[in-house]
Amino acid sequence: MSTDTTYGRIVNHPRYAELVGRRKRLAWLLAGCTLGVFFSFVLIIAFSPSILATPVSASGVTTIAVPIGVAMIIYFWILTGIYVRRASRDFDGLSDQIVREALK
Amino acid sequence: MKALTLKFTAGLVLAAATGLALAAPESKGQTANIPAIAMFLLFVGITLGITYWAAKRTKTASDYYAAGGGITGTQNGFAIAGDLLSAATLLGISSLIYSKGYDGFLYCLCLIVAFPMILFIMAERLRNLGRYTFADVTSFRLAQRPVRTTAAISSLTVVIFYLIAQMVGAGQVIKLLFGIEYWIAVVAVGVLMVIYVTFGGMLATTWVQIVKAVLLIFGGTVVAMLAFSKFGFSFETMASKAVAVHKDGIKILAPGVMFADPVSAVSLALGMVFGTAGLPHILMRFFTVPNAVESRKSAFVATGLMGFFFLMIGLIGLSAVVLVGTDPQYFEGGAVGGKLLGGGNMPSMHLAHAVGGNLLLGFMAAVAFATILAVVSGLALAGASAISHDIYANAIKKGTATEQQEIRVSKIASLGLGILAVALGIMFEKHNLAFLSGLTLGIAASANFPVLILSMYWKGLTTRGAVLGGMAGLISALALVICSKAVWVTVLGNPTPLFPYEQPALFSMPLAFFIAWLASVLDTSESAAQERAAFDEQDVLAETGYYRKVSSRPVAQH
Repeated sequence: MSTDTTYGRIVNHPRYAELVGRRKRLAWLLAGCTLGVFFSFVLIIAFSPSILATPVSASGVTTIAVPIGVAMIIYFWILTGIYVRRASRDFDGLSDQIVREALK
Repeated sequence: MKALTLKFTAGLVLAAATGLALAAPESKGQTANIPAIAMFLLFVGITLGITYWAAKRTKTASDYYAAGGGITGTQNGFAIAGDLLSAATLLGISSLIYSKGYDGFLYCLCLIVAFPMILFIMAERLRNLGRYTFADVTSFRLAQRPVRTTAAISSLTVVIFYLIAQMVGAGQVIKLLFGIEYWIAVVAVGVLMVIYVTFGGMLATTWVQIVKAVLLIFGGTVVAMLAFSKFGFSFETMASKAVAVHKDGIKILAPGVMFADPVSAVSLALGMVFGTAGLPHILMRFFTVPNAVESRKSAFVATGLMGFFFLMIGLIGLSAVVLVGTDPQYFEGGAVGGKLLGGGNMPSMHLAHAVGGNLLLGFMAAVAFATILAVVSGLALAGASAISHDIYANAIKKGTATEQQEIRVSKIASLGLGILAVALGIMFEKHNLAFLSGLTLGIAASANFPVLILSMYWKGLTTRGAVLGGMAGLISALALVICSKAVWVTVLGNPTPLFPYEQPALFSMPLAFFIAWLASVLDTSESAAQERAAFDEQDVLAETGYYRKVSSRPVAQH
């Protein structure tokens, strides 16, 4: 890898691999958490929807599908919040530092 | 400046004429709703004011396509949520919940999952690699002309189908809510859309979308909370009453027949999640923010707003079962359980009337109109950008066009798209267009998403792979929808469908990935080797966006 270009100096920066690796792990972990939960839910609907028709309490009509649906919406939003927080805390400073040092 | 004022005044006169046409309804339609028309004219006035303000600030190509990159993450979050919360969401999903119960809510879940996915794997890279259209990203290290042309063709296909669906929906809803004729409604939407886009570019389109998103979320919340208050804010009370009066009884509280076929269920879910992540007008919004930090924030805000609004839509749909579904005044001839006045899409509007009288109905009707206007404007801008930035400036002129020429082509293109949308909207008035939403998302998931993801993450992608993969996705998604029941049987009148499922994505999306991979690995040309070699530099840019910190942006070799 050449070191006479900006990008070459960034790639060869000692902390570049750390930045890329950590961000990749976080992004794919959260993407897995999102798709895993969502497609499990889709598969339950496709193959065994009666599970979701179970009432929350013996006396009421509300099924567990209702709180599960609401919880999924909140869950997805929290996951985006985790990514935004972690990215701002861990990656932006590191990324700036790498680029700044590579441009010197 | 003078020329601008003059042109803008001409536009205003046209808009005023449209407004007059709206205010003087033909007697053939429904009775005119005065509060609705007053509130709608107020919205039009505000948005034309925004457009005038934006036009003065729109000079360069970056201003025109991407609002100069000056939209904040929070503003962009509202605009993205606005793009997705179309009239189909407000009217269509709430009416699905009203008639089918929980099944309707599943659409909300599918739509919202797209945003975490966009955030985790796409948002920052899009912002770091692209400038105006997603083809900037897919063509970054590949041959400009073929890759941009392919991307533009699939973008335009998505935009035009989406526009037809919105236009036909707009005509029908506006005819009903405002008591004006169908064609006047379609022309009015077309005229206003072209004014916003040609004069105000992305800045006006974004702010129109933000204003509408705020109005829509506010209005939806008011209706939902007023309705919920009738049940003492108890979900169990509301659910038990709904179950007691709905013809499907307890079944409405759990997923049921709509997703009974596993293949269709998975295919629909795939198409909605990855199709949303491949919609050109949504992707374009990630270029309007100044940096990757703001692009992350916009996905977070958009997810929150949409999630909140979907919860409100759930309350609206379910409470309408009780508050609208048992009230004879909302049924034709007063026959409860018969045909709803104004058709199946009206439960949320009738509910607004039931809980807030004519004033709230007028407000929500104006919001519905505003929603359609804002969504079609975003679509028109995305389509016009594909024509001017991808086809004209890069594929035909190979980057030699000046910014002013490019903007002029874009304005002509948006006018052309406006005329086309109005013509098609009028032509398809009487057609059943239910298949269009599945088709647009299916194409976006199959033609745009695979190429975009591979171009960002897979070093091996070559020009040949990107073009053939994109084409395979586009053609297979189109062909499968044409062979499915919605078109082959319902539209073309054949006895049995050739393709047994409703949704194409489960088949067309993997096919696109496979063809893109196969064509790339089989490509042993010299240019393919250069394209693979250029990936490392692209990847560093995608990870860090470093060119923003140096004077000019490096150009990958072609």
